[in-house]
Amino acid sequence: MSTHETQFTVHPALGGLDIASDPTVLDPNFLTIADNIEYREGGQRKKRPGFRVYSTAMVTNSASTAAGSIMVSTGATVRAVTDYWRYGASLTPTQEYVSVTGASIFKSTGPSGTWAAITATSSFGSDSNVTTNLVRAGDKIVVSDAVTQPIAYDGTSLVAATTGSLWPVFTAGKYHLNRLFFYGLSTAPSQINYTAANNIFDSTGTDSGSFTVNVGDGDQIVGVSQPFYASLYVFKGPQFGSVYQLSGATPSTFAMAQVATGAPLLNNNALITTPTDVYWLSAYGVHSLQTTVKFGNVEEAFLSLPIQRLWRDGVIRRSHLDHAWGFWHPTRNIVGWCVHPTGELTHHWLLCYNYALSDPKPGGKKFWSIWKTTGGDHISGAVMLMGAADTAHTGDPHLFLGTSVGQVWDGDQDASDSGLNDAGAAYTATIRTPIITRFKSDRGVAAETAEKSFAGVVTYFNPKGAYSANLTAIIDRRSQATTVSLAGKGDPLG
Amino acid sequence: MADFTLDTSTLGGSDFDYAENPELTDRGRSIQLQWDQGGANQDLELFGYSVRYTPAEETPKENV
Repeated sequence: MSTHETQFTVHPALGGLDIASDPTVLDPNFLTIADNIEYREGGQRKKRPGFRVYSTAMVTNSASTAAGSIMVSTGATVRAVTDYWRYGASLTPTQEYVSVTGASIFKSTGPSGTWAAITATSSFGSDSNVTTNLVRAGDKIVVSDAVTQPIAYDGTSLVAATTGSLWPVFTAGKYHLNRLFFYGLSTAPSQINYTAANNIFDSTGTDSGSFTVNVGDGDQIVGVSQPFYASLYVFKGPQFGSVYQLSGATPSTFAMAQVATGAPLLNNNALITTPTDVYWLSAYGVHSLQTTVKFGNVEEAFLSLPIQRLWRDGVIRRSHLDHAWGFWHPTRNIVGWCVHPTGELTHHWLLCYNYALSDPKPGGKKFWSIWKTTGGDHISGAVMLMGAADTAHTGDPHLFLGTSVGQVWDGDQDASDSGLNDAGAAYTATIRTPIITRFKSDRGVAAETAEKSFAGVVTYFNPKGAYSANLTAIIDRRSQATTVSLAGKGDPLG
Repeated sequence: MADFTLDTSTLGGSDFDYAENPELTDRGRSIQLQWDQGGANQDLELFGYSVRYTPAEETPKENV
């Protein structure tokens, strides 16, 4: 080492993806590429978990075609999937996965790794209708898609509303106060109906009712949150956007108040409710209810400010944003949305926001990364508790992705599962630093105008196995590449 | 806790290590680094990095 040599160190590296700022002005902690990584609690950048086909052959971690893994055909779209737990009159619940694929409704009992049509005639809508919703209500799963007559699954068979009239055609529903609130009505776009208490099939009786939300404001009701601190939040869109709080415990005390304007929601499934906040993806970015109410619907308050180029520069396909859907993963501390990158043919980018590390206030650090699946097209997905098909992880929350080949992928696979692949295909984790021009070291600051004689790079890492990563250094505009061994080592003492 | 055997056991944490790449040398004003890991079922977890350098001319002589 030269006696004049010094070093510039970024360890720990505490920063997330920022593609909205010029890479020469960013703090060195930030990243200008964060593909297929997740952030751990200390800010570490770790390769994201993999996915494998949900099937009886899951342990093989291959692109399984095991019997029962394909619903309808390899040309069918998985339009919706959810986790169905039913207690009935017992303290021992049963678990099933329910999916709408192609024009049929499927279940996976156990869930043991195989799918079966609920009935031979369980047809529902069409493959091309991706605005499909499944909601748990009254010990049943309610299936709706804004076009087809809604129906329920009670754990045994498909049942229509059996009290009074059939439900009207609606887009989606939420279960609140023992009632089904349903909206996106094909005949009344700004109306919400609710059923009688303790009977989701009674939509016309004396205890049922309806109310409208700013009829004729140029928008329709697109989504409603899960119950959040005793209220439902109603989101209108897709043109202008507005948010309303519905409070009250009985029909006589229901009250509505507008709490925000702008940031129009585009799809009910892009609205995510967590225990501490409500998040949504709009035509302009990603937002949270807490920051929107406090700081307004202006760009500096968007959670997506560091990745705003995705919207502003059309990096994600605007015409398909109404197909985007979101998820909350409680053990990875992320909320995310699946979107369609411009110039590609499939929905396979997951925009992931780590809310545990991020400061949601305007100007606060945000930890975003983009998961880009290999060979996937995900119109739907959900975080579900793992069933018996994977005994090593039964009960763990896993991110499941629907595909356009009639299969569902089971996520949260790591190296211990031999699962850092996407249905058997490799994927690449990439991180890139900003362009670092100002070097702070124990010898002061080397200005950006001064030359530096670079003498090497040190990588701090967690040893993971007998393999390596590629390391590229771009000095001014000249690039050179080498490899970094990730095997880990040390010197014997003696 | 496992025994430590002289001349056999390895010093170093099981969940942290560092790798030196002294071959990455050049002169310039700025540097940008990128790590890629695309192997099938291969992991990556990075904590941070250091860049070794020697301060050079305050006023560069080359024509950029």
